Amino acid sequence: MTGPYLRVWAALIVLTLAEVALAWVRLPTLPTAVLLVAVSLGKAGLIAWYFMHLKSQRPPAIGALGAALALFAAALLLLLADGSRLAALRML
Amino acid sequence: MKQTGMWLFVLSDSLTFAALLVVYTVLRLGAPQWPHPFSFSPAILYATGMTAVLLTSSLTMVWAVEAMRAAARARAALWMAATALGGALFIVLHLSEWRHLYNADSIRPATAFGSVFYGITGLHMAHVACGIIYLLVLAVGVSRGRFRAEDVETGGLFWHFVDVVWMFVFPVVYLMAVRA
Repeated sequence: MTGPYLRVWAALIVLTLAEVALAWVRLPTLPTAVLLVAVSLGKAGLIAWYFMHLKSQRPPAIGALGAALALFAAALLLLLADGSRLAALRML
Repeated sequence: MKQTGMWLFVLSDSLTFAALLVVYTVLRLGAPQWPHPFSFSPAILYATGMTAVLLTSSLTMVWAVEAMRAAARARAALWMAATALGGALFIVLHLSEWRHLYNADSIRPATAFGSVFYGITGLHMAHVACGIIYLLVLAVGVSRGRFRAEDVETGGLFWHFVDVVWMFVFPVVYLMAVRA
C-alpha cells in the first residue's frame, strides 16, 4: 500500500512547485489568486481523499466536507472579485 | 465513533482558519497598500521547504496508520515518531523564519499585515505543537501495547488536517505577498 501514497505525496510536491512557479511568473493579482486557490483545493482534496481516507467514508460525510470546501472557495473568490472592483474604482 | 468526533472537530476548526483567511483577504482588499515582504529567494524557497517537510510528515503518518492496521506496532510507533520529528522540524524552521522577519523589520506585529501573519501562522504552529504531543503520546502507548488502529487513524486525521490548513496558508499568506 505504500506505492499509491508515495505517488500522492509526489503529486502534492509537484503541485506545490507549480504554485511557487505561479508566484514567480507574476501574473495579475486576480488570476494568480484564482489559480492558487484552485491548486490549493486540489491539494486539500488529495490529502483528504487519500491520506484521510475520505474515499472509504460514507457519502454524507463526503458531501458535508465538499460543501464546506466549496463554500470557503466561493467566499474567497467573491471577496477577491469584489476587491478587484474596488481597486478599479480607486483608479477612477 | 472517535473518528466521527475528530471529523466534527476538524470541520469546526476549519471554520476558524477559514474565518482568519477571510479576515486576511478583507484587510488586504481594504488597505490602499499591502506589504509584499517575501523575497522569492530565500523567503519563498524557505517556506516551500517548510511545506515539503509538512507534506512528508503526512506521508509518514499514513504509513503509521497502515502499519497499525497490519498489527505492526513497533513500525507504527516508529512512523509516528518520524511524523512528530517532521512536525518539530517544521516548528524550528518556522520560528527561525519568524526571528529573521522580526529582526529584519520586515513584518512588525503591530501592523495589519503583521497581526494577521503572526496570528494565522502562530495558530497553525500551535496546532502542529499539539499534534506532536498527541502523536508522541500515541507512539509511546502503541509501543507499550495500548491503543487500537482506530486511535492511530484518529490521530492521523488531526495531523492531515493541520497539513490541509497549511495548503491554504502557504499560497494565500506567502505566495500572494511576494516582493516585486
